[in-house]
Amino acid sequence: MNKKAQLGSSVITMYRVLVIIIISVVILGVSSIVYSHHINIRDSEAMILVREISGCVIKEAVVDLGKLKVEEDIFEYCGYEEEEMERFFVSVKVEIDGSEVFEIEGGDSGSLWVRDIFKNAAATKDIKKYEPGNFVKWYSVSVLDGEVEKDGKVIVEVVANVE
Amino acid sequence: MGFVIHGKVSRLKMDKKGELLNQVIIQIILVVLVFSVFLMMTADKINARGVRQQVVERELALLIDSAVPGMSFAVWKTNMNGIISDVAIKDGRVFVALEGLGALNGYAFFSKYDVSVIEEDDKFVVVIK
Repeated sequence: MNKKAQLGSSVITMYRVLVIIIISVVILGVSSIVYSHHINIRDSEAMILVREISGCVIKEAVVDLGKLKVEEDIFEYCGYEEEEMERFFVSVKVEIDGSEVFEIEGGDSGSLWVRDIFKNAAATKDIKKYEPGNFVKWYSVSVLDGEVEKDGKVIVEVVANVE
Repeated sequence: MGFVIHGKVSRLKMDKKGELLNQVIIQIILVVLVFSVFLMMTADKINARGVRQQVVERELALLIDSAVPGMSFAVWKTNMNGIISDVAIKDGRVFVALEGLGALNGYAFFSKYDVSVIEEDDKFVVVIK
């Protein structure tokens, strides 16, 4: 066999090996995407954050509106850094006799419409893994507004987004 | 003369066959190499080391999130999810290296307290201050 022919067959060999490598990588890539497993703990995170925020807002079953009204952001009020809470949305509503008297929020309220999409069962299996964690809890409390103390309700909601 | 020519021809044929055999052997070795790497990577996927790493990271993140100052908890190096070689806290994220698989992204936690990790002989102790 002359040198040219040898070179030609080597090129063909390399080409075949390259094709095998490409096929292997494609199979591995596709299987990685198809069989990838996402562990979703966002609901648990939302539950924990609701508990933390409630503990921060409600002291001995009393909500002091005087203190809450001074703050604009619930994260700041509870001592959380804004950067750490980027994927969370928190809403705290205070009600007296069924009507809302005060609301304080923290985080991106845009998370709410993402939550609504998933609540409306519009989500397909493909996007289900991006479903945000959501937890709402309400507490019967005494609401202290200045000198006046009334029976009321605090509703705390957390939406935990994908990282 | 005819005999000599016949000898040359058969030798040429043998040389060609030898070269062809060499090429086939090299090809087979390369294909086996590529497929063994492929199978090793697939076995790693089936072994689900990455999933077990995710489990440990998320469990730790939830524990940190729900912990209050003064609490500490131990993560045994010989864990039911595998052998944990490292646990690290960096930029509000927990990183777990499992069976030589280093943590790339980790998992974010939102605790407002100081979190640190102390390595001991057989465990990692996560301390909340």
